[in-house]
Amino acid sequence: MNTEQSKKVLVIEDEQDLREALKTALSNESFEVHTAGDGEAGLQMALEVKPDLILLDLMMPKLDGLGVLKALRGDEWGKNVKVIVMTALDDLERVAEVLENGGSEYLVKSNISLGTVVAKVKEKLKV
Amino acid sequence: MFTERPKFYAEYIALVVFGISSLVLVPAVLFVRLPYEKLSLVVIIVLALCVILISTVTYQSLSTYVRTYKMAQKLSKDLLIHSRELFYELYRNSPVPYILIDMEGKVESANTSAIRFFGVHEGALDGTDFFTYIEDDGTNKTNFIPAYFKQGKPISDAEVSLHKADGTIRYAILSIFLYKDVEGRQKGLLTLVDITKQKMVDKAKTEFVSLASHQLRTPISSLRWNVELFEGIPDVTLTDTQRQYLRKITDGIARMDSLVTDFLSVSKLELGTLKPHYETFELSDFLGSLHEEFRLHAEKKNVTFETNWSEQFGPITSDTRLLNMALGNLLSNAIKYTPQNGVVRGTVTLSESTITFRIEDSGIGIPGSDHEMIFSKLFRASNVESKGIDGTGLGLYIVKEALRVIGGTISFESREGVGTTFIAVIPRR
Repeated sequence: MNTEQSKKVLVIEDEQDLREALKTALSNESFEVHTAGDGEAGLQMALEVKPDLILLDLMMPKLDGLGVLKALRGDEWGKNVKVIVMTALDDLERVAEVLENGGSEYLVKSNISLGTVVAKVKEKLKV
Repeated sequence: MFTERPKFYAEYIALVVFGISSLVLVPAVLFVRLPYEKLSLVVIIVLALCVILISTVTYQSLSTYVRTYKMAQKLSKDLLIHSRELFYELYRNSPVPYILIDMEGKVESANTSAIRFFGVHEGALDGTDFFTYIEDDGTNKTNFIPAYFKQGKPISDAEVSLHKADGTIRYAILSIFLYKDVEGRQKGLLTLVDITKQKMVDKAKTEFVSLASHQLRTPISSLRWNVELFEGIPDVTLTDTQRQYLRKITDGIARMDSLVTDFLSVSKLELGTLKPHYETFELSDFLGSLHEEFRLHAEKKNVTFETNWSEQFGPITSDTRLLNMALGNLLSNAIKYTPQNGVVRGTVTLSESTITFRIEDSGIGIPGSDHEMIFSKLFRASNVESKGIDGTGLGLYIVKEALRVIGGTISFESREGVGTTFIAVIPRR
């Protein structure tokens, strides 16, 4: 439990309902959850909070997920941070680009349960 | 118009007949001694009157005949000129673009509509290769049309996109009819039906469906995730009725999700945004995950799901997403339309040039009268409608279109009440 509590997860998602559902589900698993509603704020928070894992939506205003990912990979701390990219089903065209830019994992939001997202986070963080 | 007196020879002929008659009869009367002179005079007069009568009648009938003949000749010549002028005016001013091409596709003449269609000045199309105006849409249609025409075959109702002089695209239904010119050389009369406006309206509608479906995804995910959170609230015990309501909400969300997925697939296929992305992958692995996904559906419905998919087929090259779309829809249909205790069987066979996927079921079958329409968008078989089985009529349309994008085909065999086998064939790359 102590290990889980110490793990910080940052959710960067522009849709408030989804952001809050993710926050609740992850908090229920005792993660320390931070949230941001757009790419710019997300990137800033990531560099500030330095989370163990980032759940990153791909389609967002201001700075999109791919932009955040590229900026992170260009940063000394950010280049090693674990990132799970969440996409809508029709963003698959960009998945290859995500993987090229160091997104190690992607989830298609529309056909995945909240439980699976939490399981993926746990698996990544080995908790 | 026809006031000019026609030239004719009837009067000359009549005069000649009269002259000859006189030349023969007068000496005859003078030199032939008849027993009764008075009688011979009467004969001469009668004969002369006969000659005059015959000559007049001959003259009249011959001149009438010649006049009529000449008038008819003139009339038909005028009509011919008139109809040629009419034809030319029709060709020139027709709202349909007409282009005359030789058997190599070189433009010999284009009417005003055709010139306007391409946005060029008169004569600019002459001598150019018409087939270079056809836009390559990624299918082999652009090669097929010239090749087919150059073999001397007509083209009918091929949908093409053509680029104008300024680079913009126009859509048209193209047909080429074959004809022979006055020297007997084979040529092509090409017609275009401009469907750019309809295409734009269609595109706008499809884009709207795409946008709407995309926008619906987020609330659907939100609904599903929140139901999940609700079910997971600790220390809350739900009654059976409450659970039942919750189950109905979950089922409704799942149905909505699958509808939105179908709408999105159709709109993407129609907008042409689903370009094939070929990759090489292990066919057995691909089929393994497909099997895993549909095994649960089959189990839920108590339908046996058998395949030969665990065999080692080796790597193949195709688009996994489009193949998954096609085979997923076929499997989902097979399970949906097969009653309890039925069987769904999936088999794969590989030849040197093709890969054949067969999805066979012991389901309700497709009525013979519906066979022709079964791949049409939004069409549902009559027995499915009457049994009240849920569906949109998009599944098989998606299958056909997804396979088309990767160069594949789909066919089926079906007997109502016995079952259906769908056969999808894709090329080996």
